[in-house]
Amino acid sequence: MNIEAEWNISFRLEASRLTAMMVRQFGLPRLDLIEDAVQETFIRALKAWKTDGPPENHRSWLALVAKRIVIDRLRRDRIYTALPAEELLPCPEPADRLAFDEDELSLFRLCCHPSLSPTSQIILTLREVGGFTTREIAACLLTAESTIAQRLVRTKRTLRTIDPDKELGDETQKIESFRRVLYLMFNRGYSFQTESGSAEAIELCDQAISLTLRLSRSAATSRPATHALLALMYLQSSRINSRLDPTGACLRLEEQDSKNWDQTRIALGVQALGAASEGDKMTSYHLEAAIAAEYATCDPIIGPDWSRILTHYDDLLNLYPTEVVRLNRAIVVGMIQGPEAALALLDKIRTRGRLSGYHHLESARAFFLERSARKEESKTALHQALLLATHEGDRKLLQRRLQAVSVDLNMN
Amino acid sequence: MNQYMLLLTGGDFADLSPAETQAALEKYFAWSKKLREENAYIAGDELDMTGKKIGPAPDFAVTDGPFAESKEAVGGYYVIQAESLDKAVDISKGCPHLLFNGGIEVRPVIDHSNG
Repeated sequence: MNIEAEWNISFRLEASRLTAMMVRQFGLPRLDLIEDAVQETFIRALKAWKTDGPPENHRSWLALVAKRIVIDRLRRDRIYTALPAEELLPCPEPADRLAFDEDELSLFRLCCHPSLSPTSQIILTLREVGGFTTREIAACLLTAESTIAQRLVRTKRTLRTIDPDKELGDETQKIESFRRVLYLMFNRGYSFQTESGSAEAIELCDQAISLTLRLSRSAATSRPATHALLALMYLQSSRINSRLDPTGACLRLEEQDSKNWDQTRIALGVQALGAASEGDKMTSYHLEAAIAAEYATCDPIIGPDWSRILTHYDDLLNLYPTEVVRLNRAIVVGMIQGPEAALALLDKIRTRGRLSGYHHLESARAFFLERSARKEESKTALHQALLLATHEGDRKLLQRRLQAVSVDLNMN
Repeated sequence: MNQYMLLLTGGDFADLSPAETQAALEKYFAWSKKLREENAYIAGDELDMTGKKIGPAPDFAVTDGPFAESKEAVGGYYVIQAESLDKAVDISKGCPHLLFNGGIEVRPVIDHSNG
């Protein structure tokens, strides 16, 4: 039995819709009260529907109950005396249940407000738009519940002092701020998974995907770049369950069993990438998705098409000339032209020193040093990488490589 | 077949998130559905926590609910049919209410209709 399949209801989706609707009606300063009322609404639904299922107009039912709970509490506190019309207004099923309505988008916009820190944006988005409780947010961000609770209190206080319409920029910038938060949310989950191998981290990635899917289905925010972001997430997450070995150590792409990759996600990713190519503007999401697609769809025996990947990195470097992009590009160059070419590029990055705290640089150097039979230097680089790596999965992989190089050295 | 009334007491839902509330609802609904399919279901519903309590005649002293103050307050009921009290208890053990810190009182309904 699955309600979502049988009745077409998702409490998580309805939670954000109800919250957004009531923030418009009762105002942002009453956000805490509204959140409580939404939770209470679902508990009442549980009690009322548990035997015979939901009423036919369940969305109106939820909206009315939620509104009544808020009004009751306001009356109890003698704040609210004028009573809005309470009759059960028809609440038609939207053409696309996944699309955000206008209220939801304005609430989402507040969650992504530039005056909030990226972490606060993620937390608030999970809470208000994702329908997560404080406890669920804490679990997927691997943080104590009390920390998240305090952070939410502070964030909401900040929210009350800002002008919601200020500093938001034009329409394109507004939509980009949604995407940026979801991109960060996804990456947080993806890297947490390396750290802990935990199911909650995957939950964070999945939540980012489902919110991006909703953005891509909403007329106001459905843009090629939104589809590209969705493609990127689907493609990256197709490997999420094959990235770690049973001990929790990271596996390199060529060590992963591509049979374990989630083919449904790959197909959805490729489809979204198709929708993303409709515009004429190339974004970093397009390029990152294109790179992820090359890996996810490559022939497991032949391996990825490195020269196509290099083209994408060249384009990405044009858009975002950052050291991290240069590092990744250097690795691809090494796969095509051999280890010496890669090492020359990596040493330049190393000399500039901007990535000196980044273990992937030393780890990549070690890889190519080993390939050019400079095992002693490779060992030093791995040691260096181990000093810098903090995630458990990364550390286990590095230790394994270090062991292999040491064995090789002893045999010679 | 005998009838049994299941009185659902307590139950802790305050900390559930929307997604968890939905999962709980799915469990309850699936159980109700199973009762119907196995022809055990007679009736069932939620009881509001408000209401009135009436004292004995001649005063008929009416006092207000709510009855929710007590942890043992009855919040809902089912009427089922089963061959025996033991069977009714077995059936009741499958009720999701027990997973949410709730209790169930299983009481035989005495049939006096045949004298």
